[in-house]
Amino acid sequence: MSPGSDIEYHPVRADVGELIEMIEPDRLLVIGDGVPEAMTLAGSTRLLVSVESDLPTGTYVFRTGDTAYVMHVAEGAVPGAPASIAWSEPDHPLAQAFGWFSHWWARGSPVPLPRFALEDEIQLVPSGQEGRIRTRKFSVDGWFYGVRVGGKSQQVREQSLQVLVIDDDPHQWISREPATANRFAATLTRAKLSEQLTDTVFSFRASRTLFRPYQFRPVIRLLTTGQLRLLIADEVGLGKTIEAGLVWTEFDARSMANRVLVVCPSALVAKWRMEMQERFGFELVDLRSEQLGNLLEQVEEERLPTRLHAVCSLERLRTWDGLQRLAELQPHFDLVIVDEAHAFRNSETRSYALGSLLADWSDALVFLSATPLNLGNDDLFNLLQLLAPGDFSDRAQLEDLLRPNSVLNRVAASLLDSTVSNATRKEWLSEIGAMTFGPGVTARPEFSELQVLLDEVGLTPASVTEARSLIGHLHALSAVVTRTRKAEIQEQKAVRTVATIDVDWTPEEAAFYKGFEDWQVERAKNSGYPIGFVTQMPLRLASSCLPMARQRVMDGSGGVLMDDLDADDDTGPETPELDVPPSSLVDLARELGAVDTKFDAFLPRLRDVVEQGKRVLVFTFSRATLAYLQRRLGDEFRVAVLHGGVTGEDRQAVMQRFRAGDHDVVLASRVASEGLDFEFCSAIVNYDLPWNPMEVEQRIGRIDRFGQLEKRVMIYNFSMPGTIETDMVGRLMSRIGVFEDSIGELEPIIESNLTEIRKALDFTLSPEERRRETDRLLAVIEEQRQAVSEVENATAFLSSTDKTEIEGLEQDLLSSGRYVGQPELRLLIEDWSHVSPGSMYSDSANGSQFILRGTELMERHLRSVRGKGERSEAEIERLAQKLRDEQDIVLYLDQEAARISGGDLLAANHPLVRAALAVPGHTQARFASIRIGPSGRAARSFLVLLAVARWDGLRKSAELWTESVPLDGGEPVDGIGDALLAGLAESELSEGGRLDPDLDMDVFLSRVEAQMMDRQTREELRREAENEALFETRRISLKETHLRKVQRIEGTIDTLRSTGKSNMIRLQEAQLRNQDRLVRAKEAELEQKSTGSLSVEMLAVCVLETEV
Amino acid sequence: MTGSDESQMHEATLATERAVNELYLSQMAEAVRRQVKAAKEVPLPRNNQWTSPGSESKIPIRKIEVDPLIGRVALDVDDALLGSGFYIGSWHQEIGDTQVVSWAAPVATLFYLGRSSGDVLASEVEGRRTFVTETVQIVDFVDDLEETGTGSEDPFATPLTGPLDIPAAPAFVIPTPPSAGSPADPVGPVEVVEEPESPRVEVADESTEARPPCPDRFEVEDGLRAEKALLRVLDQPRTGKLSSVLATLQPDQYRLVTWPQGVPLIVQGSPGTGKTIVAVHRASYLVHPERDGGSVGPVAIVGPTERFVDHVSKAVRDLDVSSLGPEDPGGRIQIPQVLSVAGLLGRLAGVDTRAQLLVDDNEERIDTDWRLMRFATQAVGHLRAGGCWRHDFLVR
Repeated sequence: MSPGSDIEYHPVRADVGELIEMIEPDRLLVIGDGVPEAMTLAGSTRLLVSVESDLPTGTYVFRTGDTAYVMHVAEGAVPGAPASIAWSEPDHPLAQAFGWFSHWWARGSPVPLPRFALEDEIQLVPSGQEGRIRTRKFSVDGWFYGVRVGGKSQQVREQSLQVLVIDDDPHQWISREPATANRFAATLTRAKLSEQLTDTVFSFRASRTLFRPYQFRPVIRLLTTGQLRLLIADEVGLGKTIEAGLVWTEFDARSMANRVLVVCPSALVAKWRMEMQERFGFELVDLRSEQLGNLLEQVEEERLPTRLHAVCSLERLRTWDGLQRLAELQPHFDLVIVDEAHAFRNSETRSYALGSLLADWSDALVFLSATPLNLGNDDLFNLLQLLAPGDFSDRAQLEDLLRPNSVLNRVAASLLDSTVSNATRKEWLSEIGAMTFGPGVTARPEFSELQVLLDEVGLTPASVTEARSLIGHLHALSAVVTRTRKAEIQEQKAVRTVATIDVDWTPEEAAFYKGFEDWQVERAKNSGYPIGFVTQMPLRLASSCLPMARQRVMDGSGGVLMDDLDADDDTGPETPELDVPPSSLVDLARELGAVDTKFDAFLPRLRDVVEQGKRVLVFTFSRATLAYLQRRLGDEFRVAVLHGGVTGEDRQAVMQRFRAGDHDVVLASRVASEGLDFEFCSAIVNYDLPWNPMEVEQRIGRIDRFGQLEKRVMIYNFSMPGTIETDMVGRLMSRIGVFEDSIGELEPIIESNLTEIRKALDFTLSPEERRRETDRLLAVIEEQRQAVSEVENATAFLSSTDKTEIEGLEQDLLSSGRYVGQPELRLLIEDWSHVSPGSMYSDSANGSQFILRGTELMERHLRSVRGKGERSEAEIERLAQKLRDEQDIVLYLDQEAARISGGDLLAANHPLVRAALAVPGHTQARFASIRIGPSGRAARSFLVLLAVARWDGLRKSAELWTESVPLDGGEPVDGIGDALLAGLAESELSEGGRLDPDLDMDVFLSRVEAQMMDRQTREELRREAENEALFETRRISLKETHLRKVQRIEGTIDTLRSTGKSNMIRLQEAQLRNQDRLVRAKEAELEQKSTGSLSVEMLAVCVLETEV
Repeated sequence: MTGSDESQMHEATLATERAVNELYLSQMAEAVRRQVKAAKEVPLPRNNQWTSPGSESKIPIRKIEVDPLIGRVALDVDDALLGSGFYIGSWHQEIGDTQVVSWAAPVATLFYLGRSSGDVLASEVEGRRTFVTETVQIVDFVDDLEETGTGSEDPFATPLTGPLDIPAAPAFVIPTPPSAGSPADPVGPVEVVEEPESPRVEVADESTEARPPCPDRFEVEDGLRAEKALLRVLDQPRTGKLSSVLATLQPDQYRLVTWPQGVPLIVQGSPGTGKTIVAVHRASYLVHPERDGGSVGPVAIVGPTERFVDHVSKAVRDLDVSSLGPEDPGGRIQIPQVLSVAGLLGRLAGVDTRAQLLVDDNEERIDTDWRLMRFATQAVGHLRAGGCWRHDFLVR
C-alpha cells in the first residue's frame, strides 16, 4: 500500500495515533468510544458514539489534493485486510467508506481541543491543591482528566482545573507586601519537608533516643552519597539497631520508607519490635507463616498495602515455601533492613539466595553486622556483592578497588607525624595512578585538592582536618560501609579511674571465711553437683558481705536462699539442698561478732565521694547485700534501692529522684539497672564482682556513657586477698583491662569463652592452681585477641579513620539549621489548625509539651494521608479518633521528655505533620522582613536569598542554598543564611522592622542573585569533575569485569578444544558473543549518566535583621 | 513479486492478523471481566485480611492475563463448523464468523500435526501459520505450507474474517472527480468451492473401565514445524526458567502432551531434549476444560528435587494463567501441582518434608539416594510390564 493512496484502510485500532501523527488530518471523525490522544493534531474532531456501525473497525484515511480526512472506527464490525485504492475505483467496497464519513461527519458532535496536556501541572478549583495530569479522555460531554493530587489519582472534569501559576521571579516577590514572620517560616518549613533535601537531617532530634553523634554516621553517609545501600558494621554495643532506626526515620520523613521489611534472627524479632516501637514509634507486624501467606496473596493480587512495616525472622523467611513464588512476583519494598547480615556471607546457601532476593526487592537496603571485616575470605566480598553488585565482580577486583585505600590510609595516618614531609606524602599518592582503579581516584577533584594542600611546606591544624576529610571522600566503598569502633569514640568519653579499697580482714573474719569456704567445698563434693555457678553462690555471698553469710550460718542455713539472688542471674536449673552448717563454723560465726572490716573500709570512701557532691551507684549481685547496705547506709545517706522486685513505675520514680539529686546513693543489682541511664552519676562501686567480665562492662557502662559531664568517672573495687573474687576474678578482669577500658573488640572473644571462664572459676582450687588457671585463661584470650586484630585488616581498607564526618555534628546542625526542629513543626501544626475553626492549642508550662485539640475537619485531613499510602490505618487511627472527639493530643517538643514518658515526639515523620503538610497552606509567602534576637538592640540588615540546588549526576543531591548581602553597605558576613535557618528550626524568627522605602531592593537582589549564580557555576564545575571521576571508576570496573569473564570463557574453550569436545565449543562461543552484547548495553546505559547538571530554583527572599 | 512487494504483502498480512488479535484480546478481556464480576458476587471468607485491619474487603481475584493468539490453520474446504480455517488460542472464542479454538481442543491437532493428524480434516490442511508474539502483540508470523498440487496460491491470502465488507453508504460522495486512470477490477465476493460436507466424527469417550487401546508407536519423522519461529524462540536469551512454548510446540511434543489419559508413557531423552517442558504442558492439557472430555481433575508433576520444583513452577503457572479462561475465573480450575519425590513421599507419610529439605541445604543427595533410585527403577519396570509405551527423544 503506497502511503499516498486516495483511500486507505488500516485494520489495527492501536495504530491510529501513529497515523494521525503522520497525516495530521484536517478532519478526524471518531465512531464509538475512543477519541485518540493524538486528536490534538487534527484540524477539527467530531465524535459519534450512539450509532449502529457495521463498518469494520480500524482507521480510514481519505486524501484529496492537500486535504486529508481520517475516520477512526473504534466500535464496529470485524476488521478486514488493509487496503488502499484510488478515487478512480468507485466500485471497490472501500470507496463506500467515504460516503459513511460524509454522512456521519454531519451528525458528529464537535470535540473541542483539550485545554491541558499530559504532565501539565495544574491546580484544582476551588481547593487550590496542586497536581499533575496523568491521563485524559473525551466523553460525550467534555474532557475528563486523570489527575494525580497529593499521591492520589482522581478523575476531574476540565472545568475543575486551572493552570498552575508559576511564580518564580524574586523581583516580583519583593515588589509585594512582605508576609508575616510566621507565614514566611511556614513556607520555608513546608519547602524543607517537601523537597528531598540531602543536606538536611530529618532524623536529628526526631526519635526517642539519646543523641550520639556516631549513630548518625549511616544517615549522613546515605544522604551525602545518594546511595541507598549500606553495610553498618559497627562493633558490638554501639547501637546498630538505633542507627538502622535513624535511617528508617530519615527515610520515613522523606516518604521513602512506606514499605519496610526487617529481617533478623528469630531470637531478635521481639527486640526489634520493641525497640522500633519504643524509640521510633514504628509498629512492626511479625510475619509468621499465616501472615506470610497473606502477604503472598496480597502481592499476587497486587494489593499489598503501600504502607507496611513488618519484621520476619531470617530462618522463617529462608525456608518459607512461598518464597519462590514471591521471587517471581518481585514485590517492592522501600527499605529492607537485615540484622546479623553475616548470615548471608556464604554464597552457596539459601540465606545468601534470600539476601539477593531482598536486594532485588528493595530500593534502600541496610545490612547490620558486627562480624570483623575480613578480606581474607569470601564473606565480606559476598556481603558487599549483595549491596553493590555493580562495583566489582570478584574478590580480586574488590581487592583492586580497595588498593588505593591503603595509600590513602598511610597518608592519613602520617598527617600528624612531623617526621613525614609533604613531599613524601605526595610521593605516596603518586603510587595510586598506576593501580587498576587508580585513574578513578586521581581524576576526582578531591584528589587534586589534596595535592594542592600537600604543595605547602607543612600542614596547619586546619589543613590536617581538611586533608582528612578529602581522604575520607576518596575512600573506595566508603559509601557502602560504615564502621564505628568503640576505640574510636573513646576520646569523647570520660577517663575511668579505678580505685581499689583494700580490706584487711581481722583474724576472726579470715578464719570464718576459711571455715565457710571449707564447708562449701565439702558440700560441693558431697552433693555431687558440678562445681558451678550455683554451688558457688554461698561463697560469693561470703565475699560480698561477711555479716550476711554469718547470719545464714547462725540461722542454721549455710546456703544462700535463692531469694538472695536477684532474679535472672543465670541460675542453673537446680539448687543444691541446704544442709546444716558444722558446729565448728557456727562457733567461728559466733566469735566473729558484729565486726565488718569491708564496710568500715567502704564508709569513709563513700563519705568522701558524696561530700564532693557526686552521686554514687553501688552494685552487688545479692539482694541480701542490698538489704544489709540499705540498713547500714540509710541513716547517713539518702539511699534508694533498685532490684528485680521493684516495679517499672517505682523504678522510674527512683530514677527521677536520683536524677533530680534527691538521692546520694542508689544500691542496685544488674537486673534493675539494665537499660537505665545514669550518666549524671560519676562513681560506681563494685561491692562485689560479677563473675562475667561482660557484666562489669555493663555496670560501668551505666555511668560511662554519652551525657557524662564529669571528665573522670570513678570505679571502686574491693581487694580481699584469699578470696576467689580477688585472686581470680579481679585479677582476670584487671589484666583484660575491663575496668579501665571498655571491652570493645574483646567482647566476642569473651562471649565465646564464657563457659570456660565459668568452669575455671572453681573455688576448690588451691591458691597456686587458681593463679595458674587464671594465667591460662589470659593466654587464651590474648591469643584470640591477636587473631581478631589480624582479621580486622579489612577495616582499614574500608573505612577511613576520618571522624570529621560526625565530629561536632550536633553543633553543625544546630548552627546551620539543617534539621527540622520541634518548634518549627509546632508552628506548622499551629498554621494547620488555623484552617479549622474550633481547634485549640496550648503550650505546657515548661515548654516541653504542646497540646492540640482538633476537629472533624482535621480528622479528615489526617485520614487523607492514609489515602496517599503514607501512613497506615493503624498508625493514624488513635490520633484520628482523638481529633474527632476533640480530645487533647499531647505532643512532646523535647526528645528527652518524650523518651522518658514514651509519648509522641513531634517530628518530621509524625502523622500530624504529614497531615498538616497535605493541606494547602502557606507555601507562597516568598518575601518577609525578619528579625533574629531581641528587638531594640543594634543589628545589621541583610538581604537573604534562599534557593534549592539540585544536581542530577551519578550522585544526586538537593541542597538548600543561601546567599546574602548587607543592606547597610558594610562588609559582607558569612553564615547569615545559616543563622536564618537555625532561627527557623528553633522558631526564633520575629517580625523585622519596616523596610526603608528609599532602599532600592532590586539592586541588592540582583547582587545576591549574581552571588548565587557564581556559586552555581563553581559548584557545577566541581561536580562535573567529580561525576567524571565516578563515571571513570564505574567504566573501569565494567571493563575489568568484562575482561575477566571473557578470559574465563576463552579458557574454557581452550580446555574443550584440547580435550576434543568441539561440540560444546559453540555454546561457549555463543556465551562470548552474549558477553559482548551485554557489556555494550551496560556501557551505553552508563554513558547516559556521564554528565549531570546543576539547577537552582529560587525559594524565597527576606530582609534579615540580626546582631553580628 | 519483487522483494519489496513481498515485504509489503507481509506487512499487510501482519496488520490484518494484528487486528484480529486485537479483537480477540478485547473479546477475551470482556468475557473475563463478566466472569470476574459474577465471581465477585460470591462472598469469600474474611480471613484473607492482613495487616490493615478494617480495610475494605476486596475479593481476591487472581490477576488474569489474556494471552494472544497462537496460530492459524488454513483448510481446503469450507467446513460447516470451522469454515475455511480457524485460529488457535488459549480459549475458544468467535471472531465474527471465525472460530478461535483452544490449543487443548481435539481439532488443534490440525495445527500441531497438520496432515499427519488423525483428524478427518487432516488431508484438507493447506497451511499452518504460527504467530511470533511479544507480550500480547503479534510481531511476526511463520507459515508452514503443504504441497497442494493446486498451484502456488497462498492459502492464507484471504483473511479468515472475510474480505473487507463495507455496507453501502447512505450517500455516496466523491470529493473530486475520479482520476482518469484505468478502473481497477471490482472485487467481488470470493468464490469458494463448496466441498461436500464431511461430518465431524465425534470420538467416543474413553472408557474408564478398560485401558484404551494404545496408539501405535509413532514415527519420529514428524520433523519440525514453525521452524523459523522455533529458532527465534531458541535465540532469545535463556532466563533459567521454563516458560510456555505453546506456539512452537513440536509435533512429537504435541503427541506426548495430548497422549490419551490413562495410558502410561515413558519419555526418555538426553538432557535438554525437552522432557520437562512436555510434562508441564501435559499437565496443563489434562486440566484444561476445553480438552476432549474436559478437565481430568487434580494433576501432579513429580520431579526429583525441590530445585526441580522451583524450576518448573513458573511454566506451570504461565500455562495455568492461560488456562484461567472466561469459563472459569477466580482460579477454580485445578492448577497442576509440582512436587518432589521426597515431598510426595512425605505427603503420603503425612510429614512436612519440604520444610526439612529446605533447612537442609544438601537436598541434592536425594537425587543420588540409591533407595529412591531403586524405587524409580521399580516404577518404570512396573509400567513396562503393564504394556506401556515409550518415547525416545532424539538429540537435535
